[in-house]
Amino acid sequence: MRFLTSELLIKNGIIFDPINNVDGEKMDISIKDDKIVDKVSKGARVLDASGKIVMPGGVDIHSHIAGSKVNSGRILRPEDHEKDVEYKTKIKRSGVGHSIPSTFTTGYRYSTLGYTTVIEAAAPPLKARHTHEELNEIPILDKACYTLLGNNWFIMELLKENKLEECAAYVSWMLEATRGYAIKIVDPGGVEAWGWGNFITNLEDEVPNFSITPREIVVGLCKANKMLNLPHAIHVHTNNLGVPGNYQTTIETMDSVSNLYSGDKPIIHITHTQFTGFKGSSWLNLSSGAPEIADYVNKHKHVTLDLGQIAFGDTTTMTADGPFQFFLHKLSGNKWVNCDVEAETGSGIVPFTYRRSNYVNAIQWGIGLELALLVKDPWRIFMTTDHPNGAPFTKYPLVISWLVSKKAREKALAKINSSAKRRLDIPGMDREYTLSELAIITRAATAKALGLKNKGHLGIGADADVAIYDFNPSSMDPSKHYPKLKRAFGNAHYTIKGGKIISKKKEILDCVDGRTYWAKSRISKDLESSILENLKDMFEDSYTVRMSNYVIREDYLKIPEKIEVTAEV
Amino acid sequence: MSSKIFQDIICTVCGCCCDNLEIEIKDGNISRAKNACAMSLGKLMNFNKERNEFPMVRNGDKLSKASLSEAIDKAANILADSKYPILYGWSLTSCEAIELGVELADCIGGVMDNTTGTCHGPGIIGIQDVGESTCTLGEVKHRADLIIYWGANPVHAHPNHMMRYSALSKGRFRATRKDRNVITVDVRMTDTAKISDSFIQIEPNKDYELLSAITATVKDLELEQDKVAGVPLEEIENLADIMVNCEFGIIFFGLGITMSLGKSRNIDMALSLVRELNKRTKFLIMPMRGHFNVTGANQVTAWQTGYPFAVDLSKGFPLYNPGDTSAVDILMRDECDAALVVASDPISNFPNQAARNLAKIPLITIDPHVTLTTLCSEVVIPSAHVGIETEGSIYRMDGVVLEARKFIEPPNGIVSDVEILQNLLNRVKKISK
Amino acid sequence: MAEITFKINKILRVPVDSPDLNPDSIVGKSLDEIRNIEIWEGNRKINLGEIFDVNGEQVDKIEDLSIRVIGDVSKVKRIGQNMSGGNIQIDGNAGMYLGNKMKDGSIIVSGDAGSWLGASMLGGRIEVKGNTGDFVGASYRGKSEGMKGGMILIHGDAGNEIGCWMKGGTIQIMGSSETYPGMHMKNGTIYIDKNCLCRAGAQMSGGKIIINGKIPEILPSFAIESIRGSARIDKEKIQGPFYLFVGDGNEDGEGRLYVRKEGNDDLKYCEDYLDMEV
Repeated sequence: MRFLTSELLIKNGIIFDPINNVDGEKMDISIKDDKIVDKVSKGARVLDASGKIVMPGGVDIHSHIAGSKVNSGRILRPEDHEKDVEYKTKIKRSGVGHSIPSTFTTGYRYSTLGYTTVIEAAAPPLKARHTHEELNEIPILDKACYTLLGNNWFIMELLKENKLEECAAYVSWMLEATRGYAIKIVDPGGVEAWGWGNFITNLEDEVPNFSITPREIVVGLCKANKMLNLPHAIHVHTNNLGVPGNYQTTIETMDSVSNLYSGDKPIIHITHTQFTGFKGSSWLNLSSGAPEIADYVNKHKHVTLDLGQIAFGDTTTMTADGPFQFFLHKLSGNKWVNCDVEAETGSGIVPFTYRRSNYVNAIQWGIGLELALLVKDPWRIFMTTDHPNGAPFTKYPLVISWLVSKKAREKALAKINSSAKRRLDIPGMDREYTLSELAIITRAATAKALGLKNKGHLGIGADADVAIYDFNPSSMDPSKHYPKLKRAFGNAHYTIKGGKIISKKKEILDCVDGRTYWAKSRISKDLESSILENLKDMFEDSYTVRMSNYVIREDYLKIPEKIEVTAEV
Repeated sequence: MSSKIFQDIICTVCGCCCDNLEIEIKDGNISRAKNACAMSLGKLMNFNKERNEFPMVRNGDKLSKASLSEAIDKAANILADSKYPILYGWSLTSCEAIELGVELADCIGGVMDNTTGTCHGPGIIGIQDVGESTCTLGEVKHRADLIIYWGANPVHAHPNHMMRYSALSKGRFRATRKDRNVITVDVRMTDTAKISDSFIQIEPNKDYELLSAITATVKDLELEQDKVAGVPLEEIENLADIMVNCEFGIIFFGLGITMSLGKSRNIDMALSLVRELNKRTKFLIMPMRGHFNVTGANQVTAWQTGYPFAVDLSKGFPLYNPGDTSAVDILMRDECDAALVVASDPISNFPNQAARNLAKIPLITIDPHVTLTTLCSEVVIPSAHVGIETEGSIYRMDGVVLEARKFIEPPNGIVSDVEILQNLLNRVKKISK
Repeated sequence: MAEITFKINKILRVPVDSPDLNPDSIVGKSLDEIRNIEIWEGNRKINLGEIFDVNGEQVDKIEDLSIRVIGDVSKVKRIGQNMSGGNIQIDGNAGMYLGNKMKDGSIIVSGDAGSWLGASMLGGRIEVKGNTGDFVGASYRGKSEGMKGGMILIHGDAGNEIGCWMKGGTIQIMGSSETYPGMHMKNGTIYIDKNCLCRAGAQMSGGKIIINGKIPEILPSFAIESIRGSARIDKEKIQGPFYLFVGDGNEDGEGRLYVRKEGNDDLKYCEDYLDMEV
């Protein structure tokens, strides 16, 4: 049924809009065209949201949905797709799902969860064009991607010579050339070492041939990020991911930039912290480093985290952390794809099954949840599964149930490896996330951390991205009725994107194209010309493509949206 | 005489996708091409020869001139009516065109397949069982001290490969030819073998056996044969030794191994050998893709459907099983009732039985040139050359994506694959309503 | 047993996909309901009754049900998929994926059968009087889960990669096989009565392959263990002597490859390696 009006009135919903301090009040939301407005005319289409939760559309700050390694994962795993297919309809394209969904399916399934903005967590600059080609084909969602810079030759050389301004200028150029949104750092220096089959095991190890340490890379890029005033903090996947005892590396990494904090917004984001929250010296005595990490985070406001929560079952691990992926391949014996990218970064993919009965996997399950329950400020900890590394994003409702309900956690605990259960603190934790806190960690806080001012809230002027969930908190307790909550969040009653009703429960009603955000930091003209001069030579020596062919035009993105800031340099 | 120079042009011949061509255009023609290899020059000098000048539709046993609209109309009706059509080719066109191809296959319920099946499909199938340790070409340029060409003859098939990316390139850590050891494994002394540091002659169709023997030697197993695949044990041990002791080794493999007896399992074994070597040193492997965008065909098809080729969309969801859903096998079993071929000539290069079965069904071909396939078609639609007369995205053999540009106008009335396919798709959707 | 017959009534042009032509989907249904079962003919949904003449009486218990398919169904895929009981008899040539993921019951084919026969089979019995194609008892692409149980008997020849990723059960080929029987095999038994083209047991980690005919060579990653007087297929004993090789060493495998000594003079060299100190 086509509606002529571009006005929509969502009536009587129970609103959770933490950015605007609305916590479970019954309110109407008015939408005109693609924005939230103050009020609409009588001719508006009306959606009755009585007895239902209304939240801003979900904002996923870290997910692997598009690009070279995601696609290599799809090619690697026909068996992943075979069991979960997406049929075409008049509106939907056909596709496949499970842990590495095809592009169209990714857009549809995120929408049915009530998510409307998703960030691709790792774009290798040389192959960023591929990332954008796939992002262009993910329907409905607004998107962005983070540009991998933590093993970049030019950056390592500039930082070694203390050329901070030039480094900032290069980062600015890179983000524009690759249409990236933020600085992504994965295993700083470690992936370059892996280019030779070697490993880096602590922040003071020197990167072979570059005489720089991971600490220097993180600090240098943090300074550059501040100089550039970029909307998001440096987004860091620390060294030693997956290694017992690595919680210390996480704390050291967070601490390495603590003196750079000026008191306004956080300056470092540690991603999928579960994977770098391991305590112990081996798999046999592995335990949770969540208490120590949470303690640090509670005392230091310059840090934000996301969980990287695991769920039991079969999934696919894929990261830019080439050495870690090799290590996981050896541990599991599963098939393994590796791709190193010249002068820049790498990647690896290994299918993996998390098992309840496995001691290590059970501890991992506990670490993610303990982090969530021990970090006090919900504005600095975000819910993710590092899709698909911890679990496919379709498991978000399950993770939500563990956060809001101790009963749900107990049910899961009853089935996990009993030694792990004894080792974890989580059995004794009573905290349950409120619905407001849930809204914070899945949309309000993530939008804020990304600097996306029109996302994550329902105030006037916000993008009209709204999720309506069929759960009535006035009559049902989320903790007690977590199965119903899980179903509600797994199947949004309505998802509205840019003012258009996109989905109703599992049915996709409309398909639109989403925007791709990218960040431009304006630097001074002098600095810009000097960096361009150096780059030309660098390209000749270091890359196998010409500089003019490396740069991605803005109109390559289907619907580009530039977020522009002014740099200090 | 008006002249213009186009820099950093991306070549659209082989999987090297060299992007440093400099083309000079004088009065609408190519007058000079710098940095182009022999194959590239060949295309640049001949791309206008033997072209289809206008759309054609078959009337009786003749192909007669038709308008684009008539041709599209006839093609759309053939496809909309068909019960099991195949959409084949795709390796010599742009990603934008391939995206439309998948959409068309999804719409009509057909099989989307590309030329991978007759070249590096076995490699992909092998990856699905074992995985793959690989890199971008610049990694080889900078780091490789051991380069092995197995069943590949780049001197002829990828002329700039060695100079730009491997044996003869200047890398950050390997500045000269002396810093590299180049070994060729092939059934005969090829020109690539002649310029290698050593050559291992292998008996035809024995790649699997030799790879198995090398892997076993790398693992320190005792071999119970003194010769494998015609190669003496001493030479095998020597090769294994070189591989284990290098700093960064790579195997580039070609059709010599993917198309010899045992196909996908030959690659399976090569991938397993490389995986084993990674326990001891840094080792990688890469296929020498022949067409300039066969990699792109795999990538686009995979991100849209989950699978890289041989995708059956007839039942409204993607289904993949090469041997069953691959175009050449469907044709061998005479199971398809219509076909769309884009930028490929399967009637010339498919096995006899498949080619004959293809020739007898309603066939639509979109191609710049006159080929055996166009001559057997019901509908022929001429198209512009990607990377010369029309732009488009293409994927190099190592997955790096480049935006090929245009520097010459196509002949009058000839449009891009993208435009043709978009029209065809729109027409099919109207018919299907 | 009560029989329901399906006689193919048209010459098939495009492939037909008919996973519901199996006892589990047929049992308890009236003939009209059976005729209305949806199947695919290329990209069109049709009813079983449009291409088959269905005759017989409704059968309510699966163990009593015998399905008889008459005619050339070489283009019909997935007959017998997932079946858990009952019987299918095909008087003609069968298509691909016959008995795919079968749990129990039996299938017998008077002619040839297509590739992926008994793929990922869990139990039951399949017998083919003629030849079959590739990937008998194999796994789906990318998966390492081939046949886990059951018995497949082929009277004629088989193609390539039979028993690929096999984990259990038995495959008997009374004719010859082409390349790579037992590829990536983990467990189970493969018997080839006549010849094998090459590469038996490639990348196997366990299980047993018996070649009663000729094989030109053994993979270099296999080692001779002994000469055995006989070999067993389940309970049946086959008289040798057989060379017994162990491999695939490249997978640290403990699979056993038996090859008939007589008629394999090209393999005599391996006797020099018997009883050697490693």
